Amino acid sequence: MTAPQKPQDDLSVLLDALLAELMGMTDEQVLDTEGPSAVQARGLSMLSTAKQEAAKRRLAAAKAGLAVARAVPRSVHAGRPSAAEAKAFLREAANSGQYTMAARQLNELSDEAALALFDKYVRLGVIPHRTGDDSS
Amino acid sequence: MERPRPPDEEPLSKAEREALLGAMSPGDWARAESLARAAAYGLTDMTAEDLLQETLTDLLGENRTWRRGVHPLVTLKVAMHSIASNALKRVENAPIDQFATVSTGEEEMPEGQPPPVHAVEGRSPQDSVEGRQQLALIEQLVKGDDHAELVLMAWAMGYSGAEAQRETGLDAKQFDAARQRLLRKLRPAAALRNLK
Repeated sequence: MTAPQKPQDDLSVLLDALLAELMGMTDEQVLDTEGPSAVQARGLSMLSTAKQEAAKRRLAAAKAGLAVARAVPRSVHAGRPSAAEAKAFLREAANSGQYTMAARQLNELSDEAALALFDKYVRLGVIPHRTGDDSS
Repeated sequence: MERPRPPDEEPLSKAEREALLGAMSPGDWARAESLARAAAYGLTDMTAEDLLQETLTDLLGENRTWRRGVHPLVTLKVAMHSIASNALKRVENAPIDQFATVSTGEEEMPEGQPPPVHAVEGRSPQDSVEGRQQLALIEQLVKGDDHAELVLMAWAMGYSGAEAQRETGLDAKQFDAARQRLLRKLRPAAALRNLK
């Protein structure tokens, strides 16, 4: 018998085995005493709720993204900002609710760390990377 | 310049995700619910239903990758485990567990419920991470049912199906019965937390 592969973590191994077990069981066995139509209706109802919730969240994220983009000073778009501008942007981004950042952490950031974090946001695409000839 | 990905490496679109989830059979929904019960077991701020709902929302919101050709149940399992792990970390990092009952050391272990919290935590921080805590809680659930304990142990070691049956030393009938008891045991526990 081949030993199972190196586990990621205990619950993960259990879930992998449980899924394999469930896939090997008949529908009748997994449904147990429940009626198939009731189980499917429950699943489809969750799916419908999920569709609406995903749309709501997408809209909220788009609104928050717009608010953050508006908060970015033009000088920031034109190149690397000053430490004060970077901190102001980070504060605004944290307040927008789209990004999580502890207030304490923000207050304790050195100028260098604030600029590094700002650069990270640019790399992640949170802040559009633009060159100096920003004509928009 | 970034090269375009081959079509078979593109993650599934929102419409494709919706179509695959919408086409799940009643049996597959039951399988998804079973996985959710195991993944959410022991979480105090999330029921199995919450976990499945949040996972579906994340997948339809395209917040999680769904690779082409991967079965919906595999994708659901990976995403549910990730969301449950994050929820567990949030609870562990929170200063107060609002649902915890501090043990006096004298009470009986409540059946079908997460055990009371001991004033002095015997588990190491290493144990708390990596889902061991949840596994230990599921073990408590089947304590006293030797066959179900064996099935759980085999799954925890990564065995399933015929291999798991061989590992437990049970015959097919005993294995099937123990497996069914174990899966049923997870149900009332999940339902109980729904009432909170």
